[in-house]
Amino acid sequence: MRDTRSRLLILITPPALLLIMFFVLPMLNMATFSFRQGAFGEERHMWTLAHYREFLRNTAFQRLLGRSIAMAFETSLYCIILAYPLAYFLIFRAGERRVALLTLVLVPAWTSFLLRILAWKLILSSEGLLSGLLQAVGLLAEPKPVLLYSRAAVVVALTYSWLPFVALPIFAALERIDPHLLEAAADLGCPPWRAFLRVTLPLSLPGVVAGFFFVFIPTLGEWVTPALVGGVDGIMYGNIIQDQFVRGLNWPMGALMSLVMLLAMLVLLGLLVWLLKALHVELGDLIG
Amino acid sequence: MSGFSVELRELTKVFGTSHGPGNEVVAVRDVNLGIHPGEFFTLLGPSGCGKTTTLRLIGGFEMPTRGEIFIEGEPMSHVPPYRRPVNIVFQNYALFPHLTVAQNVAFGPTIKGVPRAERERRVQEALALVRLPNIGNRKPSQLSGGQQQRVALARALINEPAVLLLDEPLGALDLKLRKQMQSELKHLQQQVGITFIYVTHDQEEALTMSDRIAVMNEGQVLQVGDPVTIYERPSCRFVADFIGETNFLRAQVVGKERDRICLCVAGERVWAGATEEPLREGQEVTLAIRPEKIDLLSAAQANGAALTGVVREVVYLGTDTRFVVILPSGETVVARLQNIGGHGLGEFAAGDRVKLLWAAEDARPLTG
Repeated sequence: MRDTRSRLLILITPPALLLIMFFVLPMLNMATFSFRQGAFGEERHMWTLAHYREFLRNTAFQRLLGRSIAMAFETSLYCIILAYPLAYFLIFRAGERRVALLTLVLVPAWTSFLLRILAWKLILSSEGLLSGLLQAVGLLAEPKPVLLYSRAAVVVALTYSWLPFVALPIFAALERIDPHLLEAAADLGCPPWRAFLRVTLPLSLPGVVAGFFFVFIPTLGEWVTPALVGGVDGIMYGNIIQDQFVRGLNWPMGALMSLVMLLAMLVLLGLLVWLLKALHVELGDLIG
Repeated sequence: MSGFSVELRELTKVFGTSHGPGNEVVAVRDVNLGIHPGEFFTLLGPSGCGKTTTLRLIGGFEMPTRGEIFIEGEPMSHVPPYRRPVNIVFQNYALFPHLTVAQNVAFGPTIKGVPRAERERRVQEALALVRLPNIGNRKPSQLSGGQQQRVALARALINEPAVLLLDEPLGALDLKLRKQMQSELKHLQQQVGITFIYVTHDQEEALTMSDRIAVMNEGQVLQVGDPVTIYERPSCRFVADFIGETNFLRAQVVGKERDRICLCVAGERVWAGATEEPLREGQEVTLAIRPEKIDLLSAAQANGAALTGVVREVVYLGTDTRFVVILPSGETVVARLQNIGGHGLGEFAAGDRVKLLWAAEDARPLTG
């Protein structure tokens, strides 16, 4: 009895220590920082709620958070819309070539993230691929950047970057579906589209949700992509957090804004999980 | 109208491969079958014999390369599965893991738009039919293999199909449960009166459950008949060998009488039952005789037309004893004697010379 307990303790200590040192403590540090007057000197030891008041007063911060949530949501949605048919094709139509083709989808993700975003910057620039194409078909009179430095450019670049990470969990979820289930659905009277709605879609939903999380979470805090292709229009919440730390040197405000983002994320994802659970029960009656 | 529930005419299925022509596999070859309404019909054969492909062709999951399928007189070859009046029970049951038992069973009626109240009533009935009430709210993963099997049956039967297709439905169950389900399935079939087409590689299962059996090998149907005919009068060596145990001996036709044939086996004269096809004198045939039809007597006791051999091996099997006897020709014959009243067990030992006797009608000369 004591033996198993001590063994459990030995097993659990290293990961627990790791979590405490690199997750719990930094989080607590960040939370405490949000109450400090400033980051340096005397101000470091003065406690205040001023930053909270400032955050609540500053509607620009709130609007930007709302906009970033919308952009993260859109990016995740576009990723799913593009990745689902891709994964579906690989599983149900590509046959023996499915793994080779999936690898091709993943290969771009092996290069640097920064490199891929910079590539998009080139594609969208005035001398870029898109501008050239539009000129060739006569839709553009002279070399001009297309979409560059806009909200849309950020969403396009992010959707491109995250696509493989959504395709992968959907691919895995679809691969796990027993082909006999689709035959059973057909046998019980389902034409292909109803079998898709009643069997394939609900069974692949865990992969879709996983893909959504993979994109939504990092995209909400994204600041590199908007900094490179977003311009003034494409700015995201992550950019002003970065500003607080690097330019404004207002660390307590940056800490507070990070905390707010974390909270918003938890609430949104919790809501999504709850919604899916509630929906799942009646899903069959809602569709097809 | 043919009057058949299911009729297959020259049904052929060739599977191509992605490696180009020349690699085609003929899974089903020119199969002709007529299955009567309300019949328990079994497709029996070793794995890869085409029985499952035949079933899948009837279900509509495969399209035939040639030939036609009629279900209740209607040509069905190009009708998709969701418009055929048949339902299937898969070997792995294929229950929908995201739905409860009740939702699984209600799947067919739901798709057909049966109103909720009626649907629920029919689900109750179907679950009661397979003797599984009160588990409607569980998920398939919470059920045992035997329960999943019954749910799969209920999910198919609730649609009141003209024909129920069963693809080795008992294959995944343990022996005891399988025996119990065999008799339950048979009773269920008699109760609902639906035509059952049953695929199995288990010859005992086929013999105990079926009204008629089609024995298949290499995509072809070798013999169709009721269990007694299949077992007692196999049409060819494959059928005799696949169903039960059979001794095969090289034989030559010596002469004929009214209802029996005289053969020469290992230099001795023996009798066999007459065949439908005429045999000429001097023709080479294979004599098929089942181990339980052979009686042994000590060589000194018997006289008359019988083979003589030497016992090589004695194996006690509980109800029977199994003797392996070597003939002067080097061929071996297996005989099984029931352990009754001192006959059989202990009567002969390895090395004893014995005579092998049988009733003429129990031995069959086979030409194929």
